[in-house]
Amino acid sequence: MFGKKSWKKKRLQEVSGDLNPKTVADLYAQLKDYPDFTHFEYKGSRFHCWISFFRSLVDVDYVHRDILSYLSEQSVHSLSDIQNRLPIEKLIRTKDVSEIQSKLLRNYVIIQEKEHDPDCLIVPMIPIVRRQVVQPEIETSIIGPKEGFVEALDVNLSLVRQRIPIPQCSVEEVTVGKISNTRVSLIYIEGIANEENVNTVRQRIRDLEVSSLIDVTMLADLISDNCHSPFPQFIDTERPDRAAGAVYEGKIAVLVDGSPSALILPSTIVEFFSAFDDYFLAWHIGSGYRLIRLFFVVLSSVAPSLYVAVLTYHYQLIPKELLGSLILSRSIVPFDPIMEALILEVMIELLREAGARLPTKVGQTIGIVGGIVIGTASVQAGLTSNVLLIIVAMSALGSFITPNYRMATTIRFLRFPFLISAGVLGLPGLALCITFFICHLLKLTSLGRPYIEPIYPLRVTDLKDAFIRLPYSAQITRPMFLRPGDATRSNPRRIRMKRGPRQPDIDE
Amino acid sequence: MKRKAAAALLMAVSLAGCVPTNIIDDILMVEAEGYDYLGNGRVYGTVTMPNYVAGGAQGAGGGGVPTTAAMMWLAEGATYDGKSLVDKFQSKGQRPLRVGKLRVMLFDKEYAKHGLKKQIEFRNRDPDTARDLYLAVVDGSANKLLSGKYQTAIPISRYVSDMIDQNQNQNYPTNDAHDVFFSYYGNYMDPFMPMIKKRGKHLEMQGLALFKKDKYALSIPERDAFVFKMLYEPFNQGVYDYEFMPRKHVALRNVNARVQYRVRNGNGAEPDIKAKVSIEGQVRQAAPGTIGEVPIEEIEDGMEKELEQKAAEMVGKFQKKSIDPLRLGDRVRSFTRRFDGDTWQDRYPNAHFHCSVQIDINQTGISR
Amino acid sequence: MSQKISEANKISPIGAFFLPHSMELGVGALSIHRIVSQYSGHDAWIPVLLFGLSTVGLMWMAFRLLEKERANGGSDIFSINQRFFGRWLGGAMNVIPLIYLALFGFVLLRSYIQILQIWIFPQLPTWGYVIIYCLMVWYIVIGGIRTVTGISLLSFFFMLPVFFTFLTSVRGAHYANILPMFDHGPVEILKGFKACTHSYLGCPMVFFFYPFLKRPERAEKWSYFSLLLMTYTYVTMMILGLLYFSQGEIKTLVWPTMSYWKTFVPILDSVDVFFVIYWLWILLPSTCFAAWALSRGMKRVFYLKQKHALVFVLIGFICASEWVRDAREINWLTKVFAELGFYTFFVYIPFLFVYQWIFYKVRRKNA
Repeated sequence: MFGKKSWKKKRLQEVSGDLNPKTVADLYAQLKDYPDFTHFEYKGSRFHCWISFFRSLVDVDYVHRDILSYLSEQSVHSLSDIQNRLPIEKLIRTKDVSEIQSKLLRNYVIIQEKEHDPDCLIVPMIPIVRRQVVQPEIETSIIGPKEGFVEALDVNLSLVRQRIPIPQCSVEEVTVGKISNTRVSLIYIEGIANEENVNTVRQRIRDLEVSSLIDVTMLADLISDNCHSPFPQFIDTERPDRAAGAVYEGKIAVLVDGSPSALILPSTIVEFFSAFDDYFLAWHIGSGYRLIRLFFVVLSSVAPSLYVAVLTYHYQLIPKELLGSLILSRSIVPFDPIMEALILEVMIELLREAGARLPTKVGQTIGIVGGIVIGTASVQAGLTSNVLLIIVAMSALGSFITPNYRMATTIRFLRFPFLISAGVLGLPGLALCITFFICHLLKLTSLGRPYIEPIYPLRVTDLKDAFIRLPYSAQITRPMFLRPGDATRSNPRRIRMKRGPRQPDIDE
Repeated sequence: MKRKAAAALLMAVSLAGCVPTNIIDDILMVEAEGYDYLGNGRVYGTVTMPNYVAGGAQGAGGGGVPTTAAMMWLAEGATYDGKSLVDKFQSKGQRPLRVGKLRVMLFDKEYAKHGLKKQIEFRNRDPDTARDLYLAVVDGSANKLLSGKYQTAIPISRYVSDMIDQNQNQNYPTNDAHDVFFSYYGNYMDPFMPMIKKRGKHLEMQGLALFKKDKYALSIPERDAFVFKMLYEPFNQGVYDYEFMPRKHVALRNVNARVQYRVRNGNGAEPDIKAKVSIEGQVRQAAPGTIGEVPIEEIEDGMEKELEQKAAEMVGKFQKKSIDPLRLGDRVRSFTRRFDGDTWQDRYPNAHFHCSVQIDINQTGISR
Repeated sequence: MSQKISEANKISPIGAFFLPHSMELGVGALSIHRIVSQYSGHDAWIPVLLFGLSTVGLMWMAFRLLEKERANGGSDIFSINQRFFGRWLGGAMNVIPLIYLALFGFVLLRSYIQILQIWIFPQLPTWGYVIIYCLMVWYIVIGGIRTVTGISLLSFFFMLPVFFTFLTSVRGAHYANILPMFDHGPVEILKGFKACTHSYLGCPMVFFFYPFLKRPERAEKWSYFSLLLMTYTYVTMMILGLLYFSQGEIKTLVWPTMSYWKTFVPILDSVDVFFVIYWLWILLPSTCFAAWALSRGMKRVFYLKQKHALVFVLIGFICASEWVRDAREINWLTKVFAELGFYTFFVYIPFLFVYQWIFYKVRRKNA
């Protein structure tokens, strides 16, 4: 035990050994073999200098146009001259090797007078263009904005910032990852967002000890309150409008460079089931869809296990009229209901996984193959009963209507413990299992705020935008669970004044 | 700690998991029980269980209409009175028998006369059986009724229960196991059950079997069921056939019938019970020369008289037999403070029953 | 004597609405018809109503007791006992509430399992279910009183349909059953009144959670509402049961409420099975609270860590439920507990109330 531990320690020390270059020369020595590293001496008519950058990070056209053309000018004699002449903002003059290194590995160009001169001028350049802003692919909406986040952090920031044009909208940048140095941005509105929340998020992100950060979901897992919970505790969205809307409510949006989605914290469970589309429809219709979604999500997680429980243990519960068709559909199936249901559920998961992994065009084919061929064939082969097929298919549909993909996977996962407990102990077992998950939800927090908030602790004002969405005019206050700095969205007194007195009677 | 708790949970789940299953296609659900009395405390019991078999080709997925009557499973044999038939025939079943879906219990007249005490108390004790199952008396043999051939292909249990159910919406008073328990255990009332009979290849209702607590005492014929129901509960269906003049019938189709009781002198030697029935109805079937030619009031009056007279006769019969299926005693109790229940049995036959019927024929169809 | 309870662990005043409510609704609700109407006949709803109203009086006394105690730091039954009766006698007295709590949690749990075994799985091993159940209780209770309150709030929401069904379902009701009203003498009513204790045993739980209330002055109102709602629920339940069953029949049924539910929904068959399972949510807050309060009480009395006390309590539940084997023993325990509850309600609490009054009078005189 002891030996193992010390060995591990030694390994860790070895890895974190001093690899960082001490001087610029060391840095170049390390980089010069890389094919995409450009490091050359510019020999102008009067002035010689060394220029270095990564071709893979900086758009070379702009280097030619914006830097090299100025260097050849007559008046350039030294680095300071370049600094004065270049029409680029925020030039940095530094001797700090670590800064030089980090900038060089971003979209910056380094200019020096001599190759190993520690005095460097760092010129920001246009990065290589990544993906253009396109429509969101997962959280699609029929009406409403059609922009989605992309991988570039600055583009994403601009997408949010354009929607919140006030100075209070503050953006903080934190670098996460020992190796990756990923840029992470916090966006919130000062005065509306709860200070405590902001501090918590900042603290949690700063305290992270990771080597790299690839995606926002990874960050979500790292800073979540309970990482063992199957329930995602923060919403990830690829819609800038949704992120901006959340920031307006007093939440905090977190963007990670290289990730096409934003994290919204804190979140409650009902928010995972509200599609942003709900806000674009008339409030009754939006509420109706939201209720349908919630109902089917519950049904989809419970329906197969109810089937198993009732058919295995509680035959008394089946209505007389259904008895015949249920028994008939089961009569040629050799398995217990629990096995039957597990087989079908796993099959559906298989299909879903195949559909997700395969390219879109093939994926459609898989859907057809799975749906028609396997479904019908397995019923005809007597592997499953057709009633169960209907239930499982419906519950699969039900789980797919969850707007948030991570939540949808959770909902699908939930079915398995439910199924097994229903198979073991029937309805009492199912009830125990559901109760256990409810207790878990009850204890779960998101950023220290209760996860099932409008229900417990009971906040009637927050119920206005939970299961149903009341009209905007009724939603005067921001969600209370955020404890926002400024609780009201609009001033009801002023609204009344502007509207004037109500009409006293018909036709008057 | 959490890990230990999870381990304990798993262990408990797997160990608690040895509860026996009742997978619906692996059990036989008894739907009807029939009892015939053999005398000497022995009964001949019959149970039927529908055996659902897929129609059409094997492996067709059971599509289409289930031909439920393809095979019916039936067990019969003699046993002692009060024995659970499911336990008795368990040894005859290729799969376990379960009683949870029982919907009809049939008793032959002899058994009813012998007394259903053991059956009723057994059913009331059993948490598995529903309270909305039907208890009925068979005119004839319950075994023959359950094992007979019929015109219809649906299982016999469903045939019987559907028929009783349908009729209880019409002229017959509602009466399921709950009502029987209610009257059997209740004070100052007696249960009753519908009576059915197999005639040729079909079944028919034969009126009501009335009990003195658990023993069959009297029956009333089908044509008096309306009068009984009218005194028993409010209802809004059913037809009363009235012979206005010899061979000229007018059928009153009930739309809304209400009954109200008034009781005076409930603790006296001769309590006064007044029933006020008001019936709202319409006429569709009428012999020519009745509706449109005779004033409607005359028909109403005639009907009222007949119903009042029949009601008085019926209650008189009950009093003579000292049975109380109309729960009159309970009605008296509800009108009397400090009701003297002990002497009620003696006072009941002396009670004065008076019924006044008010019929309102509010329409007579679409022809004049 | 006790550490200060941090604000973050306290429950909002509305918790005083959900907690007493879910404590009161227990297995007693299933047999209330039989137990009360064997004394009070068709007037059984009157003692139920009277008892419900008297619980409001008890609650008032409890709040007065606790309010005065609050000035002296921690204010629960344990500190009251110790202040009034000194360290040793008070400490001995503190065992009474512990027994009360243990019986409260255990009787409920064991009766529920009994119902489960009767209605659904006769072969269900008691200890298996209890272990699973106690693990869940453990999981909830380590979350503290806030989680327990959350459970009782959710339980309230789950029970909402039940409250409404008592309003709507009057199929097969015999209105004449409860006539003539007020037909029983005071002795019969009082006997019924005493029998009601069985269903109202959760009422004095305020003695345990009071120190955890934020702004207790505001909570007082909520707790009265809660008791009134519970009284309403019991009375409607009672009346519907009386309307549905005849007097003779009600006495033969062990759990009339379950039989009442048998034909409850016309489309589905045997809904009682469903309700048995539904009743889990009635049971859960009560046992969780009992486990919480018991472990906290043990902490106060025996100076244990609450975490460890909780494990003791749950292991105790598991062992005891295996030890109490059959229906007779359960009935006996239930009766003993009801007796204990009755004297707690009408002797112990009023006694404390009067004692406190004198106690402070004497002290003021001395000072």
